[in-house]
Amino acid sequence: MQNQLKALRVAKGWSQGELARRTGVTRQTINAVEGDKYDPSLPLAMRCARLLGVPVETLFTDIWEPEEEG
Amino acid sequence: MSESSTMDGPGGPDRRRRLARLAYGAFVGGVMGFTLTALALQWLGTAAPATLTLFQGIALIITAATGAIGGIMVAMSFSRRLYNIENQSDESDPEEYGDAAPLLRFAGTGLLATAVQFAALALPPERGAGDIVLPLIMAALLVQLWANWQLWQRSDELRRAVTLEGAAIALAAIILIISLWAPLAIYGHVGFDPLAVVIVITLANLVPSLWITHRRGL
Repeated sequence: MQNQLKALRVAKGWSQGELARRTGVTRQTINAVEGDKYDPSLPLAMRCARLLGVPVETLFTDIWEPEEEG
Repeated sequence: MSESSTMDGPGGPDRRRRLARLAYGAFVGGVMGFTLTALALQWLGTAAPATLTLFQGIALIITAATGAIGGIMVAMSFSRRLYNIENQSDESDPEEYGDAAPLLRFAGTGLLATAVQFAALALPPERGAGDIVLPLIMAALLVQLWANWQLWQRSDELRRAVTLEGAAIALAAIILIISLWAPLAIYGHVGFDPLAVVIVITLANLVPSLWITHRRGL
C-alpha cells in the first residue's frame, strides 16, 4: 500500500522518532511503514492521520478498484 | 524502499556504512562462533568432530550460531557504543537506545538459552551425566519461555506481527515435515532421532523468523 507518511511527517518537521513517540510505536515501525515494508494496523493508521492532520485515505492509498458490475 | 536506502548509491556513504557494519558483524560473530564451538568441543572431551553424529554436529553449529548472535545482542544491550555501531542511520534517535536495549537483552538471552540447550543436547548421552544435563535443558527452556514472554510484552505492533508471521510459517513447516517424516519412519525408510526432531523444530522456527525480520526491515 502506497503512503505519504514520510512527506507529511517531514513537512511537519518531525523525525521518525518523534512520530513514533507520539503514536506509541518504535521508530523501526514508522520506518517500515514509510518504506512500504509493513502495513500498519487501523488504529496506528488513524493515529498517524490524526497527528498529521489529514484523512486516512490521503495518507494511505490503495490502487485497488472494484470490478464493474454488469 | 527504506528511508536510509533512498540515499544509497553505488559506492555511496550509506552503502559503505552498511558494508562496514556487515564486516564488523561477521568478524565479531565469526570470532564468537569459533570460540564457542571450540569450547563446546573441548567440553565434549574431543577435538575430533568425526566422533560426533551428524545431528550432534548440527546441534553444535546451532550452539555456535545462537550463542554468537545472542552474545552480540546482549553485549549491544549493555553498550550504547556497540549499539550505535550496528544501528547508525540518518533517522537514528538518541533516545532509541533506551527503548531498544531491553528488547535486545531479552532476545539475546533467549538465544543464549537456546545455545545452552543445544550444547547440552549435543553431549553424547553415554558420556553425559543426566543428573546435570536434564535440569540444565529444563532451565534453558524456562529461560527461553520467560525471555520470549518479556519480549512479547515489550513489543510494539510491528514486532508482534513479525513474531506471529514467523510462528505461522514455522507451524506450517513443522506440521508438513513431521507428517512426512512419521510415515517414512514407521515404514523404516528413515530414522527418527529425537535430537533431529528438536533440530528441525528449532530451524523451522529460526529460519522463517530471521527471514521475516529482515523482510520487514527490522
